[in-house]
Amino acid sequence: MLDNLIFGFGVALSLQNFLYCFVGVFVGTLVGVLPGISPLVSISMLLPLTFSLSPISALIMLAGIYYGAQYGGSTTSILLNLPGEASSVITCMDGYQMARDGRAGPALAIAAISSFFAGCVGTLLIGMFGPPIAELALNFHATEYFSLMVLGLVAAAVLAQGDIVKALAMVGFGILLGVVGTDASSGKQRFTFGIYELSDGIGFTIVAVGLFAVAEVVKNLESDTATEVFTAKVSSLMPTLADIKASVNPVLRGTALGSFFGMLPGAGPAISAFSAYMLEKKIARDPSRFGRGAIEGVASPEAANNAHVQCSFIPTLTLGIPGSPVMALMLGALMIQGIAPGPQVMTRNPELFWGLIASMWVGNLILVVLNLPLVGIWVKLLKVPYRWLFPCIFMFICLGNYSLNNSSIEVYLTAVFGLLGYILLKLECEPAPLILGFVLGPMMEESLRRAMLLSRGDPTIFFTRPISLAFILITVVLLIFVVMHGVRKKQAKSLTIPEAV
Amino acid sequence: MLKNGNAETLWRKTAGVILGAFFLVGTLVAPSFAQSYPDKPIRMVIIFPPGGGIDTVGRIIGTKLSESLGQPVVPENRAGAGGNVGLDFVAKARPDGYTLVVGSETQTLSPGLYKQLSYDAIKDLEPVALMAQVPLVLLARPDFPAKTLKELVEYAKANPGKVTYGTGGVGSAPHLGGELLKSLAKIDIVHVPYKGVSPALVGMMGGEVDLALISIAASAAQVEAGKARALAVLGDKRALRLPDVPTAKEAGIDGLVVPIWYGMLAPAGTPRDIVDRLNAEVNKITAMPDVKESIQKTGIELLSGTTPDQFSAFIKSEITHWEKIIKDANIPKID
Repeated sequence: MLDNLIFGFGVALSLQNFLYCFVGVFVGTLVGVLPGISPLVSISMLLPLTFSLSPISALIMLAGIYYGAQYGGSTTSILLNLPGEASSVITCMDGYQMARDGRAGPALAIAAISSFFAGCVGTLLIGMFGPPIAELALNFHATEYFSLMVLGLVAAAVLAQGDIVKALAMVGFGILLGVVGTDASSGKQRFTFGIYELSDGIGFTIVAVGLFAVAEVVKNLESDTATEVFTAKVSSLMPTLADIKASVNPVLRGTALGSFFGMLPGAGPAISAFSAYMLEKKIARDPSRFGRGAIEGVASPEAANNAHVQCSFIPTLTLGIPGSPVMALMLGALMIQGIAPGPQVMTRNPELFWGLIASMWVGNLILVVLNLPLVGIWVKLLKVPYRWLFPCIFMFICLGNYSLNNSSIEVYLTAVFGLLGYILLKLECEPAPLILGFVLGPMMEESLRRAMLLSRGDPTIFFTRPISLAFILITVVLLIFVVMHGVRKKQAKSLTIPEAV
Repeated sequence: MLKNGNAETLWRKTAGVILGAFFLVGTLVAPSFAQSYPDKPIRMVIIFPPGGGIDTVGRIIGTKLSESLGQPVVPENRAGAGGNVGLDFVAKARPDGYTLVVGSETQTLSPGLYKQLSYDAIKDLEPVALMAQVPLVLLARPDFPAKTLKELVEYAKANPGKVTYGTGGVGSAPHLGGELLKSLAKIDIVHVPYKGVSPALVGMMGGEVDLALISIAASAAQVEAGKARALAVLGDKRALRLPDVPTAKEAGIDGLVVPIWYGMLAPAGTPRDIVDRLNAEVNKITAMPDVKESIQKTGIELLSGTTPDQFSAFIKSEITHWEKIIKDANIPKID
């Protein structure tokens, strides 16, 4: 195993491959920071250029763009509440609040450091356990996915702070939004109102950017006072020792969650980031800090997100099955190079497999070295008066969402969701549960219906398959725990009152 | 000073209008577009998102077309409704040769499948050139008891309603192919739709479903590695990438043919000389050895030499073919 990794580093550190790795992560960072271009679009534009490269150089560069963009995406989330990628929505919640408090520097730095750490772990995991894990992940059928989603939603509802009714309403609303589009089982159109562009559903980026970024700008503009959105005083650029101490455990937990979900071909990085955030909020001593600039709320989801992206290369490389459109593009590039991506790629093209894995570690290192010095520059960006900043934000939002599918419907929809986000802000409804319902709802429905179709309508299938049963049991235990906890609290209260008297 | 400035802009405006009118008349009476065509970038709509086979083929041909036409050919993905969003967009675009579309069998199966379409698959699109065909493969998980198509039919007859097959979605060509298999072999197998080809392939490899209908480009690597068994190719002839796999006809079911194709089309009314010019260029590109070699490694087979009229006749016969399949197999129409 170690030999393989050393062999891989030999490939990745050749001058040529190192250069392509650098170019890849550099372009990726730019792509991630500029919300106008998605990694999918930029990789497909660069694809014809890679035909003249050697396969390994091409793959190293394209992969660099992919994870570099994930990296850059968190920068705009923290600075402008503008999530470029599905997974960076979570980073917005506390990262942006930190930026408003003048702590953009530490937020960016922690995001970079935790991503790097998670990237390292991900690389190691792929190197050590890649192929067996991929085989194991194949045992995840619709039944298991459904039970996992139930666990996720129950955990989210249980862990929700504040008004439970509002949170549940938001989850329900999110599920309804997720239902829009063609029903996968019957081909019927749901809530599309005859608009062709809605037939594939509403894009995640549109909902997220509308609810978070657009609504935020509108809210900032409503106050006519001259106060700036960001605090003028900027504390140190780098995180303090206390910040780092507070982040160590969240990063470890986020990495673990992200690695787990990343290995499943059916789960997107947003799920990793979400569950990491929820977990941190639950076990925090003071959960009310979350959403107001808690550094754990940046560290953990960033780690989860990056670990997920790294580990999602496992199904792609070992099974030859792309987990996302970006992966499909990369596999396409390999095929044109004459390499059949698939189960044999590890034995037939070891330099490709191990070289890529080693290059991901190198790329992550380049990203940290590249990004930490940039933190100072990004923070300066916040000094730009808001009246100049917000038209730019809007312009990039429009460009980015138009380029998703080259259609203006997406831009109108973003405006609609911006308005909705503003209304929700006024009603003090959190948009995060809505996003969770939007992501998990359709997946849950699809898994449930497929599981039932395959079991001929027999619901016991969820209890007879061991992995599924385990998830259901955890869900039940979680519910019991919460109920007991609630009861004990009440008892404690009723006991202490007489004493006090 | 101010007056002077106003007078000047007025003069400029008038001159502009005259000049503009002159050019307008000039273009209206121009005898042929083809001599100056193309004099600006061409938009090439791809009806599926980046990452799939059609996107790869479209982009490679677009790159070569830019070189031979001397103007950039800009690929633009407009996905949705199984490809109908992009076809609808181009059907309604200006027929000046500056909007093209890389279309697929979506165009020929949609008229029979949808209760109503927002464009006319025959009247609104001008066929330019048929570019490629993609063999569709019937796969079985490696531990599935039936090892050939014949055994599958026997097994399915012995276990009615027990065998399942996965596809990338309802109303896709593979789904219709599965229904065609059901009606031709008179077997009862259950369709399990997935959201996309990759989840369907994972589902089959993990044993969630027994069979899968997936294009060769997405599944040949798994077949070669023994992670999936190819029972038959649903085409007229064997696939170049998997030459050992028999066609459905060879394996015992005549008529189980599901053509998946990529072709270039333009909005109806595009001048004939432009269509002919594009047809000639595309045919030249699909015959280039380097293009052929790189694309055929994926399993997609390039076609070269069809005229616009042949392509048009092909589309018409395919539409009738699909309408019959959908009717015979009793597939409910989608609204």
